[in-house]
Amino acid sequence: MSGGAPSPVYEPPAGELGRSQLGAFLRFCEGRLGRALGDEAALYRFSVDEGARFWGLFAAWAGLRLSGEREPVIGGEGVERAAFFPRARLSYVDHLVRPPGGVEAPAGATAVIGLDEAGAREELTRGELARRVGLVAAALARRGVGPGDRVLGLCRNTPRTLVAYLATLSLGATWSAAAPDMGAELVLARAGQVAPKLLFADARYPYHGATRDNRERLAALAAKLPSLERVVALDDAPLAIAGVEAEPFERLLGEGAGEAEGAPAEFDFNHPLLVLFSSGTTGVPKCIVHGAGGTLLEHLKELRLHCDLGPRDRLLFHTTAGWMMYNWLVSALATGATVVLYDGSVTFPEADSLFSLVARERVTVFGTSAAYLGYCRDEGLEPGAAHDLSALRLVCSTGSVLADPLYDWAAEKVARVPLHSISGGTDIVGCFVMGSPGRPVYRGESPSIGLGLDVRAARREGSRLLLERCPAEGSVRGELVCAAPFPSRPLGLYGDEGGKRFHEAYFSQHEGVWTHGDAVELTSRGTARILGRSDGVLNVRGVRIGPGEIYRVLEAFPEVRAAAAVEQKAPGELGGSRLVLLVVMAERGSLTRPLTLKIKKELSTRASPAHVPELIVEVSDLPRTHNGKLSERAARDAVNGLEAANRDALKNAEVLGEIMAHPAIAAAREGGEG
Amino acid sequence: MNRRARGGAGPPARGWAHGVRGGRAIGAGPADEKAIMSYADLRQRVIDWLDDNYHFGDAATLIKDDEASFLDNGVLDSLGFAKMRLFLEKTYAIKVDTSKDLRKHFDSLGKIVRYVLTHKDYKGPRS
Repeated sequence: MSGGAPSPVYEPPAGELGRSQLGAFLRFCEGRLGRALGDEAALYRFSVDEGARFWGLFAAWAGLRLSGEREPVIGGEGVERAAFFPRARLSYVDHLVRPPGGVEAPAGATAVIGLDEAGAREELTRGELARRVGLVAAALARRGVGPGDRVLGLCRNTPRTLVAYLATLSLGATWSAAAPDMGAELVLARAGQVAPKLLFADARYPYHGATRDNRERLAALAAKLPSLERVVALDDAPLAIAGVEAEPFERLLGEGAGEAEGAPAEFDFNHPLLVLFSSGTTGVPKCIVHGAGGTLLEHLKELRLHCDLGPRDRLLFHTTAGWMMYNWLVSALATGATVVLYDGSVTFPEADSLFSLVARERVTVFGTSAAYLGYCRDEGLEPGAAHDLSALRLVCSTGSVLADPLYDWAAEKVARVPLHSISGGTDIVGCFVMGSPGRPVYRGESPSIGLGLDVRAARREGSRLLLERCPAEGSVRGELVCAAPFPSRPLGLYGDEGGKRFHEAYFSQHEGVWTHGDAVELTSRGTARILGRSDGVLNVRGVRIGPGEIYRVLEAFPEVRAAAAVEQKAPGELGGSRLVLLVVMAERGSLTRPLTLKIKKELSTRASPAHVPELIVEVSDLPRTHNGKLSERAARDAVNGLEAANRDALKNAEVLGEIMAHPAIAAAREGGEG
Repeated sequence: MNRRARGGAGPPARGWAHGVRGGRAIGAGPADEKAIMSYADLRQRVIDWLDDNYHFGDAATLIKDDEASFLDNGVLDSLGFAKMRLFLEKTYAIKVDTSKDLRKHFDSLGKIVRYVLTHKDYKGPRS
């Protein structure tokens, strides 16, 4: 691949790197190494060529409070088995409550601001947050919650949820979560695997001006979770669930006065902290286990070095409490920053409500999604003109690929600040590519690769596998892989004894390296452009959907013989893509409109509204490989008007022409309704 | 379900003022007749779109009245308004003025239909 020299959409002022925490860390490394590195590119090369040394220096600079031994920094061999700081212990929560590394975060400083769409506002100081976390942790401990227990949250994104979350983690129990609006079946497919002992839940939640009552769904869910011993209701709505003890959060908070003294206990550096759920292409959802120390180390690096986050910052990242960006956002407490939580619809009561909160709360770093920015542009919003965004210094976008024109729109209509497209995900509870202070921003590109992450583009040349870093000239394209150990690699998958499923998910495609499932272009500028998913997982407007979840719902329809769910690039759609479901009917020509609507309704209620395809079309057959396996990749290529990359591997390639030419599918490619 | 536009009468309501019998306007000239028929057609098309995208067969039940607020009755949220706008622009070759609050134009079935029918560029659906 080759490319010209694009002009940046944002260029930092001179000296920006030197003034940043990244600059301070660069100087720290140079001092310890006794040699000049000079710039960020050299620091990156050092970080991947001498990974253990880099991570050891970062842990020292960041002031990680480790007991036990600080060596080895990386134990074990290879990306799949390596363990960071295998002989050390720490408390994740203690680092959030008392930021490490001399960061100024007095007890009276604001730790968290909770906002919701109805206008409620709650502020907790660092001292008050620590006190509440201690009280709830003590109450949970009395109820038998301890190391190894799994706790589930179906919660709003509020300060109460934050207290419950940190109290759980402080005891060495693991936290799993799902958004309150996720269908009961989907929650069960996830939570059922980890067998939670305790559930924190909001019985009601507001969304777009209406209050949704979750009690019936919670009761149905609890009935199918035999491991569940207790439910704690975070809001004030009475919650009664047969066979399970239910009590209000206030009781936990109120019963242990005077017991909140002392720092949280330490656990092994690699003790399980989170079990996050992720949709795969087939089979049940993955329950990804993330370790405490690795999560903290990676988040501190991303937040302090790449986002330059510190005590003067206010970070609002728009997320539910069920997405991995929530875990990322909360880790920002360890930088001394104030975390701003928002619960509710981003477009209520006004279309630009989220930006008015950014202005009102003097948010300095705002995190959002490509879908939201696209919505603002399409609505003709001009947040920079309508609101005082003078405090804002950085915007991050994630969830899906940020299209080139949105960079110009944001620069013109939001603020002349860097816009960092950051990408990684639930699998690594962090980012492979993001931005850095001192780096220019180019349209469509993430300004930098994460320090310490040996990100490469994997491609085959004949039988040879090439793993290429950013090239000296032009760019290279391939599958995004990571070729060296990294701290937020999951510990494994829950219940996956022996690690077979873990290996198959991330290490079977290219032996010895982590394969992430994204296609990437790495450039000579040290930037990365995410090109979309390289596997069958769907990403529609930032929501990741496993096709298997759709197929499971379709099993209830005997009329449908086979189906393939694929993402179609659609310039005329919000977010630039849409979900298309190709179906082969048991009886040709029997996909009626009532049946189409019935399928959509079933997907909406049994899975989630995000699982509903914009378009369902009947086709005579689906592309299959010679051993009969459905090729979603070939179907996706056809829907997008592309020649199938694996055409030779198909036994019925002729069906691709029919799919490609289907009028409703072809119309969307040209920007029509379809 | 009230199939007639009430209140906030724009040009299509001229036809409604004469009433409809058997799908035809009474006492309306050819231009009015086109508008009247278009109101019914367009109304159904909007309901179909709501079914396809949000309500999966329940839209007509949910819309109790052509003038009832979409927002208040949970028919559309703000993102839905944006999607609706894109649909109308593509299907009817009109450009919606996004400098104004969409909800003012689009907060009911009647408002949407009248907005399109009175739009200066409206010439019926794209062929």
